[in-house]
Amino acid sequence: MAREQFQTLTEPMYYILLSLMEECCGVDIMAKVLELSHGRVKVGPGTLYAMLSRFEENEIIRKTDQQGRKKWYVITNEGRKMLQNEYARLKQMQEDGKRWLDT
Amino acid sequence: MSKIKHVFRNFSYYECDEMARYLEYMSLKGWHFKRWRIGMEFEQGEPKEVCYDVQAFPKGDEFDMKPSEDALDYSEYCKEAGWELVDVRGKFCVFQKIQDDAMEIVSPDEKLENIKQAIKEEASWLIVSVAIFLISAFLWGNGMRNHIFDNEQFLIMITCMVISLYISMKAAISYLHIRNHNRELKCGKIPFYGNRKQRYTISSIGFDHKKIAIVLGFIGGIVLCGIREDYILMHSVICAGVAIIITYMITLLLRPSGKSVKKNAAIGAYGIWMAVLLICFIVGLALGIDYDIKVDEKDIAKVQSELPLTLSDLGIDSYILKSYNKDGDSYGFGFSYSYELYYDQDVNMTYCVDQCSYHEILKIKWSEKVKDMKDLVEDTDEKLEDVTRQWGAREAYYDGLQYCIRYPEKIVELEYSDGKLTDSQIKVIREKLDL
Repeated sequence: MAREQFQTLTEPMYYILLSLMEECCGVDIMAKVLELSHGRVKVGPGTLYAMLSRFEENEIIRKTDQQGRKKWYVITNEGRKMLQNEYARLKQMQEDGKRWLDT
Repeated sequence: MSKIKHVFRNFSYYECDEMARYLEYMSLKGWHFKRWRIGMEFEQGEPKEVCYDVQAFPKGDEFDMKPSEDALDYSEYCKEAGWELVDVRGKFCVFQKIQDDAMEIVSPDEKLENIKQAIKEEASWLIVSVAIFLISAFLWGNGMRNHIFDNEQFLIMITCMVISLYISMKAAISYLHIRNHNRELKCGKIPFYGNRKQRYTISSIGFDHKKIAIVLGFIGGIVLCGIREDYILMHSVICAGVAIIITYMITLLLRPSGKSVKKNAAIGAYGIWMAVLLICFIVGLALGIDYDIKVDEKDIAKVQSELPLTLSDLGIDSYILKSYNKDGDSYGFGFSYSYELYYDQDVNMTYCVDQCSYHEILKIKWSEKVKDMKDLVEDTDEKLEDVTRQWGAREAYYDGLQYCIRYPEKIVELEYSDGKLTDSQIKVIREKLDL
């Protein structure tokens, strides 16, 4: 099933979905990801374009508006669930590591 | 108006970085890439350092001759990141850096994945060409045995075989390149797609091996037809070449997208064949190519002396030769010639001689001919008569209209519409045709 590829999200995927928690223009996502990750995660235009296409095909995001070539997207409920699952997984990993790595 | 230079250079998808370096080299020499039209078009300007990036666009189509809607959407994202789209051809997207801090378009892993995808789609044509080769080989070897000496059939088969071999070789080379780049990535290196040490010149004539091979193939075909004196096939090859050039020029001017090419492919393919037939017909009319050669009454004696065999040789002078038709093929396996003689009062005589020193080939052809004869007589009241002794041959049959005779290195088919031949006539035929 296509959704299996999104069982574990990569960093770029995670931050792209995070940036789409609010409606956002596709071309502005690169800057938003940079801001959300405090400059740590960079998503190239080719990477972003391919991911947005895959997310839209799998109904993880949906297009809300289009003006000329500029498209606006927002995350769907399915996408939110996926993001929350990933957040929970990362949080659990942090909790598991706290005991041994936090001194 | 700026000067334009057309460069005919071919890059494969696994040479996208080499292509970008080439464009940068040209910019340093004052030639800036504008678009693909007739080859790559460069416009003359100030020499300057320009940074290019050539990508294999995943949603591109092998038949795209201009940016598709998807490519234009893609270019919006790239522009935001500091890259401006210059032009698109097939899956190639050429970008020019417009901001110093432009982000890389895709990650190294994604770039390799995109190139792999592009090569896979290109190699899918291998299946098509191999299928065409197998079909033509099957037709040539089986159902078309009567045309075993036909240059046309042999040419089609050889062409398909060469195309299949070319695509196979290209697919194998692509696979090796991708495998090497895969290894580089796993070792933490950033692959360079192409020949890093390639030296360039600003010459217009690049090495576009595809086009060079096609042109050489056509010239070779025409020369071969000339050597074989097969002017009808030469005429067909020239007309096919003209039709392909016209179609190519129209495509260059219209620059259709891949989707519209595929949508119109069936119409296009049909249109090309109709165009070829039409051009053949028009050129044939213009050159006065006539498959039947008319015989003037005053030239009858001269024409009859030039033909290998006529009714006059058989002592039949009551009919007047009106026209005749001759054909001949020859290539490595042997040669054949045939004549169709048309007389007045609806009388005609046709004969065809196939000569081949390869007994297995002759055996295949003979068995096909005898089978055809047997099938024919089954539908009529005629019987297949064994006339081996009369012809002094290895085997010979007569079905009431046609003779089929087999000698060690020859097969003869002879048809005479006005009755059975006598022994003395057969003797004359054997002398005339050297049987």
